[in-house]
Amino acid sequence: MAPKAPKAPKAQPKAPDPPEEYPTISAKLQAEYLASRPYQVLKDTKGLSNLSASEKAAYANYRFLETGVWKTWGAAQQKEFLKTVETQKIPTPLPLPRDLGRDNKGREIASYTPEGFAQFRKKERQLSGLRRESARFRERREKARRKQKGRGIEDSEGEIEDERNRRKFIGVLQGKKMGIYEGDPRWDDVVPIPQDDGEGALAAIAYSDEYAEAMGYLRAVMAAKEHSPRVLDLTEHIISMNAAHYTVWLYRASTLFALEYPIDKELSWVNEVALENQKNYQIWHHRQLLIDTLYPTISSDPTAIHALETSERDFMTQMFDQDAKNYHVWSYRQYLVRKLNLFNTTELQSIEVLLRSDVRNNSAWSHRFFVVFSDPAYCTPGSAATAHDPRIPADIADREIGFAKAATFEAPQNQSPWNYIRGVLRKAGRELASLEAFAEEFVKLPSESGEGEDVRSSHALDFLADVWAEKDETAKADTALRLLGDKYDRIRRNYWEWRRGLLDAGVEGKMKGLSVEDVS
Amino acid sequence: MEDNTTEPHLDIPRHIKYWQRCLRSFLPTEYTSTDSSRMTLGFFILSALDLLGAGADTEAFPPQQRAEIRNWILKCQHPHGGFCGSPNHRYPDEFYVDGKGEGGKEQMDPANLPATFFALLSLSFVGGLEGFRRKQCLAWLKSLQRPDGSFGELVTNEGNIKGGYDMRHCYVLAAVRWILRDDVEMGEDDINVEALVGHIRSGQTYDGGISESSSHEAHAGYTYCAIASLSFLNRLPTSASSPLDPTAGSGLLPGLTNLPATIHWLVSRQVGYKEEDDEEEELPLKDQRDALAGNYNDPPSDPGLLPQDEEFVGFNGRCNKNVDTCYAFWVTASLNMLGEDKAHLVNAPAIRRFLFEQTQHRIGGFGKYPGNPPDIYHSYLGLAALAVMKEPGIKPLDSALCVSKQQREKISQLRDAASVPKHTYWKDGYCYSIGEDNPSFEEKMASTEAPPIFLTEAMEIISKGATGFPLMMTFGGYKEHRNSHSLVYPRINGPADGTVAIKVYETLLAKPFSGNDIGSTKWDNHRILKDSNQVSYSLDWNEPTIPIEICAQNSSQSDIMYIPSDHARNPVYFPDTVKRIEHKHGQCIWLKAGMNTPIISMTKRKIWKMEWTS
Repeated sequence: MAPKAPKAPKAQPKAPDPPEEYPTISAKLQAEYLASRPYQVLKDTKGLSNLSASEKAAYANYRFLETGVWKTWGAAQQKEFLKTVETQKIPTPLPLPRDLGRDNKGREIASYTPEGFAQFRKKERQLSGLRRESARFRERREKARRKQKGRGIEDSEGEIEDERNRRKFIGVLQGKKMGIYEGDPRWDDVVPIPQDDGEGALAAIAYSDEYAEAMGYLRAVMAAKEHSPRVLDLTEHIISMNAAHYTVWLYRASTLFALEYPIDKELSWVNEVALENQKNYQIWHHRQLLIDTLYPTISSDPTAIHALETSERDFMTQMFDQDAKNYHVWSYRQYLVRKLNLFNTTELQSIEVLLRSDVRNNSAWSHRFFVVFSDPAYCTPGSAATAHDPRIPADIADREIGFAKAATFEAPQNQSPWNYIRGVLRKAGRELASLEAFAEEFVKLPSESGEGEDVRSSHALDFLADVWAEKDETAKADTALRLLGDKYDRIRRNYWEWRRGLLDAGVEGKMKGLSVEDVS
Repeated sequence: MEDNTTEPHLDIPRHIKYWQRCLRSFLPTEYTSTDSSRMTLGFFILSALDLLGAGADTEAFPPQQRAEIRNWILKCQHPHGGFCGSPNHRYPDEFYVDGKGEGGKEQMDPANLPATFFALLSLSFVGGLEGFRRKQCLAWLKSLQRPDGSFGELVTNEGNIKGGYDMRHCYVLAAVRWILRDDVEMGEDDINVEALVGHIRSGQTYDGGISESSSHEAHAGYTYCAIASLSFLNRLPTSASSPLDPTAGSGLLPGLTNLPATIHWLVSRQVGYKEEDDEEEELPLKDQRDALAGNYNDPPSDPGLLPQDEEFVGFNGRCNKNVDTCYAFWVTASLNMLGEDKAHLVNAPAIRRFLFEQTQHRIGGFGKYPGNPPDIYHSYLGLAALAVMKEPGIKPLDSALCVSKQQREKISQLRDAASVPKHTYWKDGYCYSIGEDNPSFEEKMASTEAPPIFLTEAMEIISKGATGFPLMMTFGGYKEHRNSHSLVYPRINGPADGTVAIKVYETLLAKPFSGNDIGSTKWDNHRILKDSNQVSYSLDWNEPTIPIEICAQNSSQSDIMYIPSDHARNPVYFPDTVKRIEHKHGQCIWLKAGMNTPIISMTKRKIWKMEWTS
């Protein structure tokens, strides 16, 4: 083994012992605590009786120092005592290290390394400095606000930006981001009203911090009846998380109206939100409210009305591209037809486009029925969908029957046009039997020997059962119902059997009598 | 498909577990979009447990939990009648007072009709209708009706009725009216029943179903709502054997314009459902959903006809739409209301198979579509649909109210009890409420003590009996309104030994008497504050002034000068305040008094219960 190099620079006597490495801050503090009591340590290790006389004397003086008893002595005695302490080089005993507690992640601060602890302290100092500054900023603005008595206060953009960054930084340092509104100086004048759920809450939801905070601010601005541009942002934010909030929409609308916000701008926002979220149906009420407000301002301008009609129809087409059966869009469409008097061919054609792409779109069928049979040009005002309307022109009824017939040939097992045909017949006051021949194109009952049976639509069979019951051809009606239950529509067997029972009891005819009801 | 000898059945314990989980733990953040309907979700939870025999009236619920749920529901009640759908809509009480004039009512975030329905049903599970403002609620209901007979879901401060015109509101309105007054029409105080029936009739469609309102497409949910409304209004055919309308000849319009067509439309909602092949199971959910529209895919050979038996039958809500668990309820319950016999018109075994094997989830509950995770709404309606079909192990269901028949009966009893005039009598410092129909009514009323006196005497009694620790009193608000009007704490100092800490949290919050028994809210407030001021001078306390914490802004008391207004902009909340005071004074005795609670009853009770002797 080679001898050690003669120069051992690290061991130079001038340099102090390399500072001892402590694994944790608490170990370091404990060591410092003990280091400040050398005679206590000496006594504990050697035992009192083994101490030398001078050590014993030093120990005794240390005890006086520790207990503080010397402070009760006379002045001269105290002076003497302190002098002895100095000559004996007894250090002042440090207090027992205090409990450092836990950090915001729940970790024992005592378990930090000494360097980690130093950083932690530095961060804490920085944080409290920032918080003080932030508090000063708030105070300053609050004062200015009071002076202005609620009128808007002028802040320099730079100051606000600084404060916003400060809060961001606070969030980083404390390891927990500030809320969107808490971190925005522009919302400092609002004191959020927190939700009070209390004990026994039903259906409590694990709200996100973002939602809980925004709701607190919403309650506060609603309480203060604040109608300002920032309220529009806030309501938009809430709507993105809870579109079914039944008053946020009303509040947004009242804010829009208070600000005289341009309706077309709001409409394009609404378009965006609706396209993003098909399930958001409150938005359609909101849209109605907007149109109700817009309409009086343009009602005398046919060009503007026409433009609105076109843009609304285009937008609904976009919605229908995603879901052509969206109930709420159809609700809105019926509202619009009434509002803008869209009982016209363009409207009918637009429905036909939808039916061409999906002939089973029952929503489109329903809408067609509404447009055709509520047209104020020829319908009795207020005539119910289920009632006969004597004012319906025969050619309109013929046209609608023809339209539905064509659809049944396209897809015989599609119930929509069959229902539609029944509806048209009732509206026009015609008997089902008037279409017996048509329905029979889909149905051939078996001969007595049981041959030749050909059924291509259960709905046609159903239709014929009613026709034959209407005409008192009970045996044929019974066969139709039996075939439905036994063969062509077995999942509804119980129903068809029940109908057969009514037929036997002679109630079926009476029931049909009820079905064309005279609404006076 | 051969017959299975072992039909699937309902795994009751597993479903109970699902619902108890919903009751006890936080719902996932995804439920945030239903935050405004928490009352509805709460009702589903309580009622599902009831249907499964583990409801709030069983030992599964400790009385404490019942009371807490009750308080939570009542906390959502608005001072001027009606409830809101979630505490997120409820402001501290003082926000509802309008300073503008006599009788002016500030609605803040207005009460909501569906929420009121579900709150009333939920209350019936956890104790009854005490504390419910029946009179205000009835007046409020009337204010929700539009000239066309329809109802909105809320009415704004300006008196505008808001919300859709649809059948859901008709339904909850008719149900709430039934819960509160049965079908007794009350002249001018009542809603316009004929207009409501007219509105429901106008929603009926050419194909026999019922739509949102006139002119729209028939929808099973709205059909259910309309039929159930008519059942509450007694406008449905009642006899199972006669399809003829009972209102014929009465001069009233029948509720349904075309009963056979409606039945036809309802049974048409059944759709055969084919299970996906195994190899397709990996497809994303959306594809699976698209494939669900049974008669969307016409088999080429025999277009759309279903000559073979379907193993599974589900329900759609509209013609040519997809099956969905909830429609099993909306449709079967609708048929059931049209007569017990009509419920048999559906294909119950195949529907059961569909619910059990396709939408029931292995953790309990039901999903919307086959393969979906369970959610509260579909889990409840899946259960309810099975109950309509008389599934063993589930309590029989009342189709119209969508609760167990037993619960409907209980609600009837609560209503009848609520309509009997009540009186208050006193015994041992407690006050009790008793109905005139109670057999011991005469006896109890004859034995009543003198009504209580107020704070001064109470404090004297306390100061003689209780030494050794500070005494704090709070009043002016209720526990359930965390931020009460004011928190006043007269303090008696004694040699605080810190050994005794007694908190009296039981209060007379059940409020067996209503505001008009005791006096107006305002009067009580003044009286209490005046009394407490007097007390502080008449008793020789260390601190003769009474510190007052205002827990929230209260404009109506701005004339009382000695209330500091520090907190006006910055509301503090009751529990926080209590904590702070205890921090300052050490352990205390707390006596809480509600707005209408005479203090004496509290103090007397306190002393007797603890058997303090001086």
